[in-house]
Amino acid sequence: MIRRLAIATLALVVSSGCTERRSASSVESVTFDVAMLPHFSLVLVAQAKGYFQQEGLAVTLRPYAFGQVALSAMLQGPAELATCAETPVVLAELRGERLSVLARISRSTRTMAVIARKDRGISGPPDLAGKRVGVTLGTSGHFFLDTFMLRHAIDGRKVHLVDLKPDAMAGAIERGEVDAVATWAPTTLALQKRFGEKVEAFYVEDLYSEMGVLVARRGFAQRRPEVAKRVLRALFRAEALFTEQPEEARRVVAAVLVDDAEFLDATLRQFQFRIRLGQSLLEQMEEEGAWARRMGLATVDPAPDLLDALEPAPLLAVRPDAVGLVR
Amino acid sequence: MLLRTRFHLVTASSFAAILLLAGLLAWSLREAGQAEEDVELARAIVKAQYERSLLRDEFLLFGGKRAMTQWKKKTADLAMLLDRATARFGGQADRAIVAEARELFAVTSTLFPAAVRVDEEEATDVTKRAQVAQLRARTIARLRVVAHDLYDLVSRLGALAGAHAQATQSRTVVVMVTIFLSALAMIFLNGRLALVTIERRLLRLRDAAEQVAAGDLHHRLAIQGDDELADLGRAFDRMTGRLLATHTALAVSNRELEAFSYAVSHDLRAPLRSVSGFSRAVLEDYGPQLDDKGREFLRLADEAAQEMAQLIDDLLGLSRVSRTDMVRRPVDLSALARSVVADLRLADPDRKVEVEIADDLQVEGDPTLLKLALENLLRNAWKFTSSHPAARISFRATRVDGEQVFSVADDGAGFDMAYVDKLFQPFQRLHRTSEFSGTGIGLATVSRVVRRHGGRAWAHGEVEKGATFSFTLPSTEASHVEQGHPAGGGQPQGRPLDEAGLRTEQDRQRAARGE
Repeated sequence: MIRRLAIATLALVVSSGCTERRSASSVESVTFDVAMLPHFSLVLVAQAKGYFQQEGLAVTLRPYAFGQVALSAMLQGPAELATCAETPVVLAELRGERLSVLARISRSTRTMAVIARKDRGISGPPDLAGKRVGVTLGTSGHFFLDTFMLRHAIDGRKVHLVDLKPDAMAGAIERGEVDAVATWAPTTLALQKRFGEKVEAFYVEDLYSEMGVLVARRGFAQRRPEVAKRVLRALFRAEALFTEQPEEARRVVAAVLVDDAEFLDATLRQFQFRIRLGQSLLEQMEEEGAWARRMGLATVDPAPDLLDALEPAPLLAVRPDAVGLVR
Repeated sequence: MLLRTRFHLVTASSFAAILLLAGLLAWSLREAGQAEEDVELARAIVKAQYERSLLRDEFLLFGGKRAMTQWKKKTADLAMLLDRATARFGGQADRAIVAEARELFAVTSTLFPAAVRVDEEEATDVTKRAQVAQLRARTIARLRVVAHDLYDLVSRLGALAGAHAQATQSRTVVVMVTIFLSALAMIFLNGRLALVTIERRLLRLRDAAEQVAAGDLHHRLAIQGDDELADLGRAFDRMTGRLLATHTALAVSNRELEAFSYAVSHDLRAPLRSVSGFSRAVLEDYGPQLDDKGREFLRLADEAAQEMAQLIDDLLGLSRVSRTDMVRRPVDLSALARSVVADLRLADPDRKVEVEIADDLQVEGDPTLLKLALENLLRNAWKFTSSHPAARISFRATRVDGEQVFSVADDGAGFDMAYVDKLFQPFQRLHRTSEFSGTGIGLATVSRVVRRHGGRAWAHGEVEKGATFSFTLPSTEASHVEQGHPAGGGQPQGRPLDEAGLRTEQDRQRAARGE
């Protein structure tokens, strides 16, 4: 994983260096802590195609394995922006962090799955009762697993959760330390590919969709409004590439993530890359906040108003019709 | 290419262009209409989803069959609208939105009944009831999230359709403006074509006609091409060629006639001298032997011979006017006139004639010919005032319509204007010789001199109240004209004068009025 991130970093630096630089009167520097996942393809494409540079930004991308760690890194500085799913943002807010989500940059309904070993007697979701299930706690995978158990009427108390990073899941399954794991693509697909017929994948597409967001520390949009707008403009250009030339966009992402192109292609097709900041994100975050409080994951009381964690000003300035938030 | 063919082609191509543009306009209007229908469809989808959400929330809050029935109907409506949208929207972005909307619509369509089913489940124990409550809350929350996304998406579809409709309308306006400008351009091009193909050559034809009218019979159009105007140009050239041939033949004929008359006049003098000489010799040598009647006959024969000699001299003089090469130089007509009058006074010192000659009448012309003309005019005035004891003669110039008109006027015998046309013709006399001597060549000579200078001459008079003889002498241009006269052997370039030295009927009328 570390080797892959190192190569990805190199690829980002090289690709950005090869891109034509637009002369800007004042080039602004900004650092992103980015999860190197397909969910955040818009950021990867904007950097690789030089859209950030063309908008007058000198962007430094610091790569991370998944969103939760990227967000944690940003909170420690010096990065000002991060990409992650909505769940880590909710949990950080409930821990007392003050964040600003500038936009939702992806949505997917089939990227989360429970991958279970058939040889542990798991042929359907109800069989998870009494089993050890690996999951990255405090992430969207955690909330997905809870939804999955609710959907299939599995008593959560009868399932033993094991906190695992995505890159540790394959080993844990192989060694028998867990009977199943709940995680996101492309790890889900990698596990299916690796274990083949030995595992079964279960989804709940109708009850959960994962949302990739662009998040900053609270006040960023007020401190650096022009940077926020330039970032969004570059991301809109990446969105246009996905709409108009999806093959090219997927090729760019594959080149950056240094992954099996065919494999990644199948993964990317499960995402909708559309930049928005709407009521749906707020309501999903509130639902996750209620879940987190029930699970005892909230450390601040009273719970913060998650509406304050959504910052529509930059998006309103760049593309007003992309804001559906009721304020 | 014939003009008719060319104009048919231009008309046909204009029609084709207009049809093409009309087709483009029709296509643009159709596109605009379709875009408007797209907008209507998108609005209907947004409205349906909005109403569907209201019905969903109403049912979840209050229950009741009616809300569910309405929700189902609205769901069926939205499904149909999305099917129409799938078939209708062709743009990449639109299609992506419609596909995603259909996916979210499917989720909402299954989630709502699922939420209802959860609501209807009867949990047996506390734990189970808590689980059911959580599942219901999660399902409803999920339902709302998806519904929000669906609403956002279809709103975006409406915005895109609106933008597309606006762009299509703008394009329609551009097409209409283009059609208008194209029509203007076609009108302009047709005008240019007419100018190029017709007007220029018509102007050439007109200029050529004027040149030929001015006497340049060598002028040729030589228009190239195979259309009607080229045919007209060639016909014009043929006509000019025929005119030149006729004109040349006439010139040759005139020269031969003049040569003949000169030879005849010259050869007549010798026998005439014999007649006169022998008549006098008979009178001198044999006069005493003849009776009075015989001597009278001989005297009459001698006088007739001398008259005839005078006629021959005048004829030769008239002929010389036409044959002599002109030498053009500045001439002081005032001085010439005074010289002539001085000679007249010397020859007839007893006459009481008041002569007024304007000063400084300068022209360009042949001094000898102009003196001949002035001699004839002033001598005539002197002669035709001889019956008056006190006479007045004037020579002056006036400017009429920018043209200098010289006039010799007297208060003598005058003439009847009914015969004015005869005045300048050779041997035409309005008075008997017994009244006023003369051969009737003088005014013909004046007319010919003036004509050779490119001018014109006319007269006005009234019996016993005097006469005025006027003439013009155009300068350089006119001299070229006379050089081209058939009698002169050159190429005429002005309007040829008639026998009376008058150019047009208008001139003749003016002459008749004495202007």
